[in-house]
Amino acid sequence: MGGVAPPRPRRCPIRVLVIMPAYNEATTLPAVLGSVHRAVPDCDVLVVDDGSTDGTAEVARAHGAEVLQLPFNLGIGGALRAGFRYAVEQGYDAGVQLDADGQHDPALIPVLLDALEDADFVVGSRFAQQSSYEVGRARRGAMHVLRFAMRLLSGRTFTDTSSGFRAFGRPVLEYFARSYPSEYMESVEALLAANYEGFRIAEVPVRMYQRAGGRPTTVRLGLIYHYARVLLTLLTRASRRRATSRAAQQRAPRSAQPAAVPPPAKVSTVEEAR
Amino acid sequence: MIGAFGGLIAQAGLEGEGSLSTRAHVFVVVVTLLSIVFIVRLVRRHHLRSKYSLLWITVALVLATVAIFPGLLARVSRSVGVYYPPATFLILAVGFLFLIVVHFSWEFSRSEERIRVLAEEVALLRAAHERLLARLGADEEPSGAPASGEGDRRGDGVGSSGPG
Repeated sequence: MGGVAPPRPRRCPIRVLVIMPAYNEATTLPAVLGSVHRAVPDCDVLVVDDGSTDGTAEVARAHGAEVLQLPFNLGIGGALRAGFRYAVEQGYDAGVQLDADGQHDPALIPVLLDALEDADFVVGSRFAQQSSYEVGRARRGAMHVLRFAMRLLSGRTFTDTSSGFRAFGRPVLEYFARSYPSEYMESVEALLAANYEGFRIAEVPVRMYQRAGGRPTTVRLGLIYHYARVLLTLLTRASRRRATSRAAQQRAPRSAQPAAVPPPAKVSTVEEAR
Repeated sequence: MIGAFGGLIAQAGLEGEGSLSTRAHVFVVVVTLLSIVFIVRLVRRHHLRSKYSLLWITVALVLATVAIFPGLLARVSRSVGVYYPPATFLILAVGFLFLIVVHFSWEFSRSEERIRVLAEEVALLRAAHERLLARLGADEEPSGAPASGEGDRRGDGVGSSGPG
């Protein structure tokens, strides 16, 4: 029936795509898709099936989502970049990234989208306010190291560098469709890259559920190795930036400092909305 | 690999001031020539890209030269100031292999990135293809089309492609 649908008036002023990278999430996906549809009925939903073997794509299709099916597992960075490319090709004005495992509350999507009015890139932070999100001690320590490195390299503080609940304006979608990093914990590098690129980045506090299904992406044994990798990636990114910063300054007058301003006012309204 | 092995043996036989027993000399030369044949066969069957085949053939020829003229390496070592000819050979071999491995890491990284881009491209094309099929199917047999809600969304996604 898709083809014969007549042109109809747009229901929303901007077209928003909810991008959900999913790897073997067939069990949690129906509930999440349902609550996304209840929270933002106007948004299209794209599930990027990252080489799942449990029929994730079929489940997503059956629940009315558009599906990108990757031929094999690319990791979350690759799945996201495919999603961004889809969003850009299909002409969406904004995108929201949401985990398929039920960690994120789809009811907060409008909050992220609101914040997008004063920013290009909105990060849903688990730690901006005191929150109930429990993190193991080793992981917490590692996150502190990561946050410190980010402050050093970016010159501003991000309370949650690895959040997977984010919203992107069109310019950021286009930038990430070209260049979204594919290394492990790509969100940290993406944050740094967007910061260097001069995009306005805002943080919005979100509460997050413990994951409903699936297993954490890292076991403790590999933690040091993974964080060393992330730090190396960040340093690489920072050094590359230094090499090209002069050219970047000339062509992009947008400075990164004003970007730090928007959040406070926004944060308070967010709290009221909840 | 075999060529390098043959070269190594050649150097092991070189310790006595370039005096190599005839039997050992023949053995080393035969092994080196065999490794050249092996590489040429790989090249002829198109298992190796020409840049690599050129590389390995060059390596094999160098090894063959060293194997056939054992005095050569000893003379080179003495002129450089290395008193133990096998050391010269090992240093050169390790340095060469190191460069090769670094080059391969670089090339693997690039290939992986290209494969990733291809995979994403495949996924996007597949989705576009399915949308197209759904449209065609909707014209002929409505039963084949997906649920109407999804159909609407698809129509919307395809129809307007400007950023608005």
